[in-house]
Amino acid sequence: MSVVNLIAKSACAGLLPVTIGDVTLAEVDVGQMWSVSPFAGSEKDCAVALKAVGVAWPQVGQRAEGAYWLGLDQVMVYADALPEMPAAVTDQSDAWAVVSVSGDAQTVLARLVPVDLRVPEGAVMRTLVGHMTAHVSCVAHDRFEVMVMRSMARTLVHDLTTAAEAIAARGALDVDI
Amino acid sequence: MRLCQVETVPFTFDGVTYRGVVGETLAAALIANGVKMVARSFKYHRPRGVMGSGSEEPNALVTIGRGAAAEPNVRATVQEVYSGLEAFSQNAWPSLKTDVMAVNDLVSPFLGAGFYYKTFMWPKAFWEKVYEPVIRRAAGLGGLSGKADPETYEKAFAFCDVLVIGAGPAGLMAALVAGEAGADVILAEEDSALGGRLLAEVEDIDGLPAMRWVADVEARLQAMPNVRVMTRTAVTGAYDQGTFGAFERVDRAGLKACFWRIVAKRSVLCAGALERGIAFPNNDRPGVMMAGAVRAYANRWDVATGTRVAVFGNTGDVARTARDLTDAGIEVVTLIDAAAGEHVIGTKGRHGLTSITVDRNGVVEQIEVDCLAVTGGWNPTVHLTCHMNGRPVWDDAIASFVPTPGAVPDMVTAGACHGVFHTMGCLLDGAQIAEAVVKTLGLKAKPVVLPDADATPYVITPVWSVAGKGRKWIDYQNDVHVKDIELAARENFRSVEHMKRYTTQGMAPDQGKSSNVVALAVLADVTGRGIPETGTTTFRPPFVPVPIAAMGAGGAGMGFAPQRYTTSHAASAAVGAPMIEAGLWYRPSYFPAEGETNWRQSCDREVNMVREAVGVVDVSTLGKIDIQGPDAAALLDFVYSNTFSTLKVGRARYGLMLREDGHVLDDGTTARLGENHYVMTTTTAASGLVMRHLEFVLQVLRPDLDARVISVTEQWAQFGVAGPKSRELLNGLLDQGVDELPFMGCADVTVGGVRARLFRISFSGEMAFELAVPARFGADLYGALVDRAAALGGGPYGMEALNVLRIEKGFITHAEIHGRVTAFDIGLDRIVSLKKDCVGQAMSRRAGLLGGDRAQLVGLKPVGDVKQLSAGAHLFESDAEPVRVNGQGYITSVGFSPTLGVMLALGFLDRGRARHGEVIRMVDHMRGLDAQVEVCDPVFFDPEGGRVRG
Amino acid sequence: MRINCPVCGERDRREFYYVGDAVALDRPDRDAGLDAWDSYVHLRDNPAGLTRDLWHHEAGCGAWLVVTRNTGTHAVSDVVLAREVVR
Repeated sequence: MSVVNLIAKSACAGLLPVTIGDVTLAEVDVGQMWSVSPFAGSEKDCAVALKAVGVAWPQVGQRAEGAYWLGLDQVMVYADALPEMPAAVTDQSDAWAVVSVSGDAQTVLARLVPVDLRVPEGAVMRTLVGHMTAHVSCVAHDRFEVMVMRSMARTLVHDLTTAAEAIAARGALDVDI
Repeated sequence: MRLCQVETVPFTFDGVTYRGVVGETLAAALIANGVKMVARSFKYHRPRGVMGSGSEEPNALVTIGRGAAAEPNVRATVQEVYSGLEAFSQNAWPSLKTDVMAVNDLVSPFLGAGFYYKTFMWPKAFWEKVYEPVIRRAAGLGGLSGKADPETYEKAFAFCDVLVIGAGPAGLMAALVAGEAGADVILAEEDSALGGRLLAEVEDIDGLPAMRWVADVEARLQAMPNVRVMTRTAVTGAYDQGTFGAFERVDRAGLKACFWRIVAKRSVLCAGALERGIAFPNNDRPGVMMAGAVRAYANRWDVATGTRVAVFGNTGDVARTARDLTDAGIEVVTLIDAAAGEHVIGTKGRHGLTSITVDRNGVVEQIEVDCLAVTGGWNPTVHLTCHMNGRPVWDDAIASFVPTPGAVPDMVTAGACHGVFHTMGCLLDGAQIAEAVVKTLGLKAKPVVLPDADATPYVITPVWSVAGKGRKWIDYQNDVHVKDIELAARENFRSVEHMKRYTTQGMAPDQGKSSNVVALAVLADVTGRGIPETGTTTFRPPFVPVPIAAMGAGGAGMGFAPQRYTTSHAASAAVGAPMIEAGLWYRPSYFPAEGETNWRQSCDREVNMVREAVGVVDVSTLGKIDIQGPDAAALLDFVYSNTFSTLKVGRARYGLMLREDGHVLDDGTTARLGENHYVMTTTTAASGLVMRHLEFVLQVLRPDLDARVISVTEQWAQFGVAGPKSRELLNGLLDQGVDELPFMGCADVTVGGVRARLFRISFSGEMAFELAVPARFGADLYGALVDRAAALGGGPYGMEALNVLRIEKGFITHAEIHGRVTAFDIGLDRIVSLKKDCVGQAMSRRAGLLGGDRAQLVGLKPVGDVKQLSAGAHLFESDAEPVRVNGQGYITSVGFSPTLGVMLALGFLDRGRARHGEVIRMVDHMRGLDAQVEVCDPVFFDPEGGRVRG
Repeated sequence: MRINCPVCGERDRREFYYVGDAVALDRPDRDAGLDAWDSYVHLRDNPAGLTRDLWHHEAGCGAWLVVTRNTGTHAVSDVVLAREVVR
């Protein structure tokens, strides 16, 4: 018998969305997501099990239908529930702050991310955003998704905002001169 | 003086308002306004004027702006003029014209090279109090404001196939060829405009003014999406694996500058060449300038550097300068051909040049001039090729150093920095080099039609210094003249590196860009060696000064480190809880209640609340690592000193982790959720460390183990509920009863239908639980827990109370397991199982880590008049003198126990476990505390543990 | 400095955590004796030239890497997954 009705709060609640110059930052609702790490030699079995529920096994550094690469021997899967698999599975739905950067996302992220962001759509990178370990994925040529630990949501918003503001200042500069 | 009518804006120099053209350099604007003297020299405070026209400028260093935003040591030859620009001279007081420290120049015979070393040796005590402050005031450059810089800096990353450094004829050609071949190109140019020397010279390309060709190439480059042109961007350093630093001046719209890290597969250095001077007596008066700069001011900025100009030099640039000045309507009084043995042997003019003395093969005459254009030839700008230990080589044909091929991996040089000194050659060199570079990238260059350009050969008769009386300056920025170098050699500082350090030649912001080759030529001369044998000093990054603020851009304030917030943060902050940092996390220190005026009152109340009712604390910051797999148990047995394979499903156990050297790494509670599924808890501080350690074990030490680890720290918001009423609190909240859950048990539960995990573990010695829910529900659950606790006479507690509660129970934290303690030291040697191998086991068996006189964990209570104890204090025998050799241990944690009404401490004491009951002495030398304390068991409260079992 | 991670490709040094000599790969048996353990835990060569290091791609894929590089030139000649070396 439940006596409470817990209310959910997202990682970036109260922080986003914001628009600075041509750049918009918005929180992404990821729904239910799971980390899947196949046990030794079981990647194929996991891929088959996931295929049955309409999820494609992502290649290293790629997004696929309903899933994306997460790291060495790890993928992330979007699904309400997962089939039985010879893999370590953990609920990661609440572990991350996920923010989409749209507009001149490459220019903003070039201030914070030490990798070449001129990548094709669907590319996923584990790297840094400022001082934070992060996932950076290219959703469209003008939109990236950045994922950091949930507790760092405020720092992520701060870092992205600061970078976008400097770029907006440069934009104003081009008009000035 | 301006050579044509232009639109101007106001700016100030030393408070006087002048007018300049937006975008021209401050140096050009000052010269146009007739300001000759712009600085006092570093050491002798001699009047100095603008020498050059680029970033190599040794003299014209100014401070831009005022107050916190003031930026010192800006080269006036680089700073662009804008409306309202404020510039100030440096190193002069009370004013540039009447600088009292100019007295240094009168006593200069005593201030030569090595002066500091020889003079300030004694008395030793005078150095810090007398000599250093005096020297710092007398000698020096601009000063910092001492305030935080309010301006914004950026840093950014860029990537390319080919980085072309410098946009003169060679660089433009290289960028064009590489770009048209399809390579991803960055063209970085430190000037505000493309063109390099073509900006400053009068030359034709394909029969049209050269700048027309530059504009055409710029348009073609801008039209290519694979080419990025970065102006005002000086590449400052060449680093490993094709990484470059670059400094971009922005200086508008609140944005000061951007520091770039550019990663390039290949680089083409087209940095051009720097003109060098000739050492002749009193060659440093304002008005004595580099000939190339004189042409630049006339040709690029339409500014005359004088009304009566003489030209002195040893290359074809003498005639070129005379031609350009005459064409611009500036009177050229005389030419002095150094190659033909004609020399300038003296100058006059206190604050600016008024005349020169010329010796033409024995015929001496004085000539009235207000500007002398000097050229001693050109030095290829080899600096970046030296950043990875490369040494340039001497080339007799140009009487200068050229880069050693391959000095920086994947870098080639083209144009003037490659020793090619006419425009036609630079165009050809740039094209050919770029063609070869793109080929190494698997690309094919399109055929290029080279335009027709000047191909006059460069002919030079080396002239370094001329005879005559008076100081012949070489390094203007450091006030080093020929005699200083001769003195260095005489005193046996004959190596070029020793000479540099003895005389300071080549140091400071300009790094000897204009003086190095002349200086070592003079050194070669006095030591009787050739120049190649003498060699060069080492050029190091940065090529131009880079403010630390730019390198550290984004790192101030909130950008210093990520801030981690728990889901309960807002609620804690709302009731006024001060936060303390724990790693990157912010945790509430205590929760001030009404009427409480200091933290101790709050802390005491919170401790009592937990002991008597119930308290709620956010423990989400502890690391939580999910471990699954057929070998999950085997992994835990290998990383923990004790055994986890025997743990029953649904139960938790305390675990101790060792480093491979046998010392304690971390501790925590690990629960078995399923046959092959565990969740490990780490301390807050060590969560990242332990995660890395587990990955190390799985990938490096035991890849045979089939187990997977992933952090779930952020997935769960976890709250401790501690106190005799904790069960009551949870029974009213969870969808299941908690009475059946045994001590050290764990279970899946639900809260209002939300999936949760419940652990019955305690860090307070009370009956306690930890309840974890998905983080999105954390804030709301925390509110519900605190409300329910309040209804039971409890409430939230913070880190201070948590600390006291655990000290009362003798539970350790990283204050105790600080990296130098063993399981034996903390009394846990019994849980180092020898039935299996584990990390650290072999080394933990070393005799020196077991027994003997090792300091062991003890509890301490004050028994004398002094009741105050302090962490960090040292322990001594009760009657021993409190000096280092008598030290027997130290205190790691203290807290006032409201439960026992006394201050308690944990610490380490030599053979401590055998000394319970002994009274010893605690001395905190820092805080001046001296107390008698009794040694006791570290568990002060409820040693039988009855309360935790309920 | 840049390291070519076999999983992620070439990345900036800041993404990696440096551990030290790849001697860590050769863990002695627990009863190998204190000399063997002392050497494993404490003794390191300091070569002017080729050296084998362990690096962790901590801010990347999480792989532990054996990096062969030249301490004189800083050239990185080989990067492999540590678990491939151990196997």
